[in-house]
Amino acid sequence: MDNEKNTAADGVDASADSGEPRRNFMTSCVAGVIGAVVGIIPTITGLLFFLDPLIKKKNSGAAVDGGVEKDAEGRTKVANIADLSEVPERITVYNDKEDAWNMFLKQQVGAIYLSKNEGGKVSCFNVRCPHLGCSVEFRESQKDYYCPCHLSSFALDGSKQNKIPPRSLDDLGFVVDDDGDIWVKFQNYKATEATRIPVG
Amino acid sequence: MKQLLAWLDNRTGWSGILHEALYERIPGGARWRYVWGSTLVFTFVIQMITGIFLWAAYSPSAQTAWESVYYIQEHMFLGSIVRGIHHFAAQAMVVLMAIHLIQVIIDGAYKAPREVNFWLGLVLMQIVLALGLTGYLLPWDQKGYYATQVSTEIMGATPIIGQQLQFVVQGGPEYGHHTLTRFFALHAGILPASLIAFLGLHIYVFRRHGITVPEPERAPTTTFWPDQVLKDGVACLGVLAVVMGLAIFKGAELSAPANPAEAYSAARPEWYFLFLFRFLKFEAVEHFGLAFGAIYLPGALMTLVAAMPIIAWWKNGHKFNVVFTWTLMVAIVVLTGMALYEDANDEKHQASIAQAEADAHRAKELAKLPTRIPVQGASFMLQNDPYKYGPRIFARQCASCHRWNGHNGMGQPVMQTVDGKSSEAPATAADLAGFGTREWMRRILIDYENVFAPIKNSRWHKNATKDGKLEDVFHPFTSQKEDEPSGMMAGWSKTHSKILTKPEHAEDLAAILEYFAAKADHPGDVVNEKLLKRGKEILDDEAPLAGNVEMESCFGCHAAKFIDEPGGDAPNLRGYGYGSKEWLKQFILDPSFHYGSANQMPGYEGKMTAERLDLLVRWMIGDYHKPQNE
Repeated sequence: MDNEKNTAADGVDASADSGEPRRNFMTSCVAGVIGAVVGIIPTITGLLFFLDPLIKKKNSGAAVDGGVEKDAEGRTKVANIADLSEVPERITVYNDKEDAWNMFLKQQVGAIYLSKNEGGKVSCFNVRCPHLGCSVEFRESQKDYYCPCHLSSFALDGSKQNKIPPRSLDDLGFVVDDDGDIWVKFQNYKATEATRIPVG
Repeated sequence: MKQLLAWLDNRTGWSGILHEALYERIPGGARWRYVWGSTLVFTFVIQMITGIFLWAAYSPSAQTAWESVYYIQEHMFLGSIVRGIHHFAAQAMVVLMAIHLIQVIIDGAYKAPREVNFWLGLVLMQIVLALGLTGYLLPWDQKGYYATQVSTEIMGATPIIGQQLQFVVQGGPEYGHHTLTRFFALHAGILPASLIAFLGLHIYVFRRHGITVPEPERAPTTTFWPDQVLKDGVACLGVLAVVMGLAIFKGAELSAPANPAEAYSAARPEWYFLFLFRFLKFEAVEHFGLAFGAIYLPGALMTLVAAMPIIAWWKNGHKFNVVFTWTLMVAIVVLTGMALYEDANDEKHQASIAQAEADAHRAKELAKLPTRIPVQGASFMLQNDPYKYGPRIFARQCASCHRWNGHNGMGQPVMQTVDGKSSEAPATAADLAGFGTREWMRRILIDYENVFAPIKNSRWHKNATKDGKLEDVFHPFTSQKEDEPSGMMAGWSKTHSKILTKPEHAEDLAAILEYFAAKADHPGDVVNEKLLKRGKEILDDEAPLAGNVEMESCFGCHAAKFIDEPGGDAPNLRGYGYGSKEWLKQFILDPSFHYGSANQMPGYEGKMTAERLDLLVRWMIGDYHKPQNE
């Protein structure tokens, strides 16, 4: 240990022996500043480029040739009201998915539960559990929506039935056209929050 | 704090290392001529920074490389700047490396005891050139693809192990996914790691022998920090300014996506290899073969450079080295200048560059459409663009007889050689620009004879006229024979142009044209329903024109026929929309389907693939995304 220390000290002493040349403080400052500038400029440029996902604007979601049919609000057709019953039906939602430079047409983007009560009122829920994003399932025996991951439970009207989820199921906006076709605006919301924050 | 640093120093010895790094002695004072090594290290650091960020957005595969670089360049925040810095700093490195080498040779810094460091420097030079070569391919654009093909083919010409070497580097007998994954692994992994290792050795050996000072008594001895660092910093700032300026105002090029079937006549290596390219073009060099010009001779020159420290052991050896270096540099500059000058004055090369730029522009334009780039990739997207390929097919298959606005479809005149003299060839069939549009139909109705006048230039027509047998062959002009329908349309047009061009019939003419525009059903065309209704009255119901003027109906001759009913001497207009995509395809494959024997055009059934026919027809009827700058 001592030995090492002495070696290090020897090195310093050796250079000190020959006499340190004069160093100008101003030169040091200017050299330091220039050195920092040439280092920072490319680094900052690259970092901002890397942060592109925080800066870029959202996709338009407009209909594309050969893709899924959409209305002006970006809703897609999911089912016909005549086919619905009081028992909720799980339906896959298709949409065109833009991924950087590609556009993938008619992709499965999520699922919904659709049902129609006695009065003909349609309810439409995203299957994503607002707790931590698993898929809820309809339980015939309990007449509820139930999440197998952390046991969240929701009534048929989507309201939460225990304290596990932070909010009720996310109901999605839809319209029924003259032919009885149901057009849904599919949307995911951030899990874990008591309020609904759209994702994507 | 002081105690903590002292403890850390005791355990690591950092202050000694720092001291040694910063306070290296520079006898004779700091000088501008010592900055080149530092600028090279700095440029390499820039490449590491921008390279790692680009890595986070680049995707090496044949269907995603061009696409991801396009996305970096055109969509990502500051993407074009980051790629521009990486692109131009790479070139700056080559320039700085040449300056560094010359300075080392002039100052004699390669001589004993610094031979090994000189060789380490030459290894670094090869690594940097290899980085440039591998990086050139990664965007997978036409320019990089074709330039790199030349390099790997030269590699394949290496004696004995050539083919094996080429296969291993390419990841197979041909370029593909694995060419990119391998080049990327080389470019972002193996080569930079080797560069760092050799750079470490280079700097270590450099510090071992100290700086080579030509004039030690010039000024008082100083230290690296801060005097030389200031000069180095200013030089680095200068390099950065030039690189940033080029990145912002010039920008890195991205040519059209690589397509092995699509020639790239504008192919040139990176500018710093132009001298070698030009050298290989000398007839005397070609005479000795590719291996001589591309492998043996550059290899011999590099060997001579590597032997410099040994040559310098002899008297006058150093002088020889300096003269040799300058001669080599002058030769490189002259050859590069020759290559640039010749290309600038080569009209064909300039046209190729313009075509390459147009293709690149078109690829980006299509990629920006809402459909984006298909999963098959941007090259596939461009291969199915009627705007790009329709004119080429037209020029090759149709322009020997037809014209498009007077040219061959690609804007060039159609030439012929008669008695050894080149002249513009006369058309021998109709000019098809705007086929099936309202304007086309208007000319058919009121100026039929002129539309088909070029037919009179054709050999069969001339021969028939000379032999007095014009009446025996079918042709579109007025016929004397009552039972021969082929010439009757010209007669109809002559009679009816007088009626249809009257001001009071302008709207009825427009209605007739609307009727046919609806039949042609060109994509994107909007039909005026009111005019169409009137057109149907005139043509389908044979209603008189305005002012109760009777018009001889089209469908007296052009009888309604079913699609699968061949033959007939007047084209079928009702059942199958005249001028529509389907009609035109059917017509090109088999003209007699609509015209019987009353048409001299050869059928293209079996002579044109369905894909090419589709591209040609879609181009002719304007079924493609229209370029924005036209």
